[in-house]
Amino acid sequence: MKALYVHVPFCDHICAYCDFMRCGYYEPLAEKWLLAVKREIEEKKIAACKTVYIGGGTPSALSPSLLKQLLELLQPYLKNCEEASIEVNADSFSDEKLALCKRYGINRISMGAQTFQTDLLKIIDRKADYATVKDAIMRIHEHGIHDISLDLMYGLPHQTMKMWLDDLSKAASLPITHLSLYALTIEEHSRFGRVGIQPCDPDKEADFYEQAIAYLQQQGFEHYEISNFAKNGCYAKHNLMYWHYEDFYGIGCGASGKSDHMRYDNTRNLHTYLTEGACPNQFLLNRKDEMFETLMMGLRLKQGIHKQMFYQRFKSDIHDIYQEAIQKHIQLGNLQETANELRTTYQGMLVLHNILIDFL
Amino acid sequence: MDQKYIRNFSIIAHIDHGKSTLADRILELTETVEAREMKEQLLDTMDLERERGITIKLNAVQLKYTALDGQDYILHLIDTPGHVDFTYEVSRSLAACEGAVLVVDAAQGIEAQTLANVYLALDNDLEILPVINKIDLPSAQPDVVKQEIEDVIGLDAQNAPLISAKNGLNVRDVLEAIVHHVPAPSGSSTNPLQALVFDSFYDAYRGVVAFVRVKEGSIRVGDHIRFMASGAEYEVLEVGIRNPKEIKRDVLHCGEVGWLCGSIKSIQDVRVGDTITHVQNGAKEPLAGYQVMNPMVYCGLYPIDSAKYNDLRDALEKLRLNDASLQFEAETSQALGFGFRCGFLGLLHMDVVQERIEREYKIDLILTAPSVVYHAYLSDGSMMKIDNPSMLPEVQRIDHIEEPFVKASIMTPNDYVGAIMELCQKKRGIYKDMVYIDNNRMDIVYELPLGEIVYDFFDRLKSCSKGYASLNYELIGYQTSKLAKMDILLNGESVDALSLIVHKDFAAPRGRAICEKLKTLIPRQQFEIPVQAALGGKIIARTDIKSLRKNVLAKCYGGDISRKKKLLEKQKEGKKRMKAVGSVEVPQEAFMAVLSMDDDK
Repeated sequence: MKALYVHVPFCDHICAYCDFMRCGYYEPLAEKWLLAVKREIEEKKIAACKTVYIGGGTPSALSPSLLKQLLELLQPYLKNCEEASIEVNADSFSDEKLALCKRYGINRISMGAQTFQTDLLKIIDRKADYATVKDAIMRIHEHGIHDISLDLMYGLPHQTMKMWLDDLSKAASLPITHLSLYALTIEEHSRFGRVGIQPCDPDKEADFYEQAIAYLQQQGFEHYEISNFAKNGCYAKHNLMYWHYEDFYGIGCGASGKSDHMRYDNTRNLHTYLTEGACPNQFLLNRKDEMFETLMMGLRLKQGIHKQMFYQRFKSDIHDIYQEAIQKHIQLGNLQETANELRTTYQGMLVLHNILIDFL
Repeated sequence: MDQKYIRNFSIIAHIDHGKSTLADRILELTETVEAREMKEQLLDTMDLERERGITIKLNAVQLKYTALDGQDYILHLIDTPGHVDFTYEVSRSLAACEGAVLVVDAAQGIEAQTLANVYLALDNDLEILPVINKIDLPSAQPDVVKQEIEDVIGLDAQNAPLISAKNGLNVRDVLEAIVHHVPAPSGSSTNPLQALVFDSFYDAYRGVVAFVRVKEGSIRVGDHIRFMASGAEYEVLEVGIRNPKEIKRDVLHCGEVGWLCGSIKSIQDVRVGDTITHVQNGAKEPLAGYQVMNPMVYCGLYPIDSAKYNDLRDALEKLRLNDASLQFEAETSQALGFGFRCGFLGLLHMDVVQERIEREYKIDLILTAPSVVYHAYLSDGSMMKIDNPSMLPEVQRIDHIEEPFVKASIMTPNDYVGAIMELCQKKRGIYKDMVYIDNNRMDIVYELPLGEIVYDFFDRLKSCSKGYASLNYELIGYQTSKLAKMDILLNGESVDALSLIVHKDFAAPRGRAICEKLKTLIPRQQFEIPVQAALGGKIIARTDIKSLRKNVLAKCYGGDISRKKKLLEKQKEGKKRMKAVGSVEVPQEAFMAVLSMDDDK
């Protein structure tokens, strides 16, 4: 069974670092968008899915009535899946929308917090502060959804270690099951990119990252993927599908998907999407691409690549294909092997790109 | 056409005095090139020449000109490079001519290479026609420049055409001067063939194409010819001229300039400077060739991909075809593997060869820092020529080391004399002379170690004189200096390709500058890398490249796969241009770090 990703390209407002496919919310436009999504789902004849993820943009920017229509549309998939997530912003996730989510089978909420520092929130142009986030999390629990993930960012302009540790400790004190930590990257097409904000000093970024890993482990979070931490085994099942390099449907303007040795990127142009449909850009993946991408995704997981699974998928022993690179990085202490897995060491996880280049 | 209506000439000038522009105007005026095909620097066919606005290679074209008195003439124009590195190309062009048009900038006057080129023309017994260019500039002083030409060179410049090659003003005067003052070629069509090979190149379909000046006799398609120096014999399959497109002919007559090919696949058979004659009834004696120029600087040339070693050899052989001053022999470096030690006329020449190999032959290269040839006298009385610093024997075996010195002539406006003298002193120069060229300009003469000129002298001179000073130099011999080998260590291991020979008094700042430069050029790796400079085993400078702590994209959702992979592919591409030296990945540019200009810091 595949995963299903639905991209909602609307936001209440645009954050300074973002270059995803997104635009300001405007109800009549969102209505048309929903019709196009409906057409796309029908055309793709999507079968039942293991996980569903409604991401964006900001899905909670949709009005209650449109959110309801979207959930209605996705109901056949939401009902029977193992994990149904939605991305929300604390300030637009009203009780009404929360109740709708619960009613249609959403069982996991991914909430963008990014930082709790008032000054930094201004810099990245986000509104929801600690109180708002905390309040939203409490309300989510009250509505009976207990799998909650929070996003935080490091390497922000003017961010200090003290601020970062404060963010982490605030997050860890909240009743959440999952944390995603993202390093700020300056994207050319984001506001930060346009005004020429400089990226964080790489050593400082490494400090932020390593301190976070150490602190969160103390707080009972398992560092199971480069950017992701889970309590009590509450992994992000949908993202695990990506990391395991499984096929997934991508629905909506700006979404990507993968199926049957093919990756596709739907158009990022909303007008095109509304008038002509998904217009996917398709790339055929050859065996070499797929083997590499399996590693590129799988080595992000602490658990690593399951060697037998690799063999089953490609009918080749991973050692036969990557012998030189594997040897080199085991010697460098970047990779380690167990009976069943090939995985990065702690050190290797920090420099995964150095490892991957040798597999490319 | 009758031989007496043929004129063969070159245009010589200091760089940027408007040589190529004048050539363009002459091509237009003689309607050699149709207006729609005209583009700037038409004779500069290499992309590299157009991009840099310089002429590197000579190029020969035939023009038809009807003089004001109604007589038709055939002119052969041989374009020449202006930079000091390519003086050798100029001397080859001049050997194929009877006259030279000397272009002097009306605002700048005589410069160092103007003089150098004039001397070359005089050596070749050419008629020199001074032409004053850029008279349309507000700062033009044609009368002052005329006087300068008379005073400094000793040529009569009173009737020199005053032109603006840019606007085409009075260009016809130049052509009239050529037909009336440059002598027609001597020689006779009935004499045994003597044709001077003054250039050649390799064409994938036709083999070697040789440019020739027929000095005696004539040469036809079907003739059996012999290259007198190499002894190789061929049948002529094609002859022709350029206008500047290739035009095939049946015959090249006495006095003409053209090309020939004959299925010559063996590059070694054709040497520039050789004489071609007929197999039967051939000439007894070859023409005087020209002296092969000895390279001034040497560096190691290594393919980044060691599988391309043979391709590199092939490329060098083909380049040498029309660049006889390029020398190379195989060498091995511990750090870089198999490559070649190559000799060049100067840094620009080195640069041009590198770029041509990378562009025309698609081989990515690593160049080691350029070095001059040192003479190391050993305790046993013998002498070793050292063109690769890493080959210098250990200190105990050396009695003393000599380095090449040049006599440098620097022409400059008075305002910059102080700064230039300071620069020369700093570069270990020995003051020799200073003369006034006119009221505002001087010619400063210094003896300088060639090694210092190779280093960053040109750039410094340019910056301390706002670009007004010009330099020419000639080798004058070897002198003993306090020299020693400096080793550069990466991660504790000496890298032979980074070794250099330095003056002991300047070693410490130079070592520091190189270490600092390497630190900025070598990307951080997973471990800390000490970068050290050592003189005779003693560390004199050190810096550390901090270890890379994090290199991973800390966000990755489904749609990011393509983007993330692109990022990795880009990093991989960058890595391809690096060489693993021991455990350290070193980028191409790092091997040139020795040329770093920051040793004042």
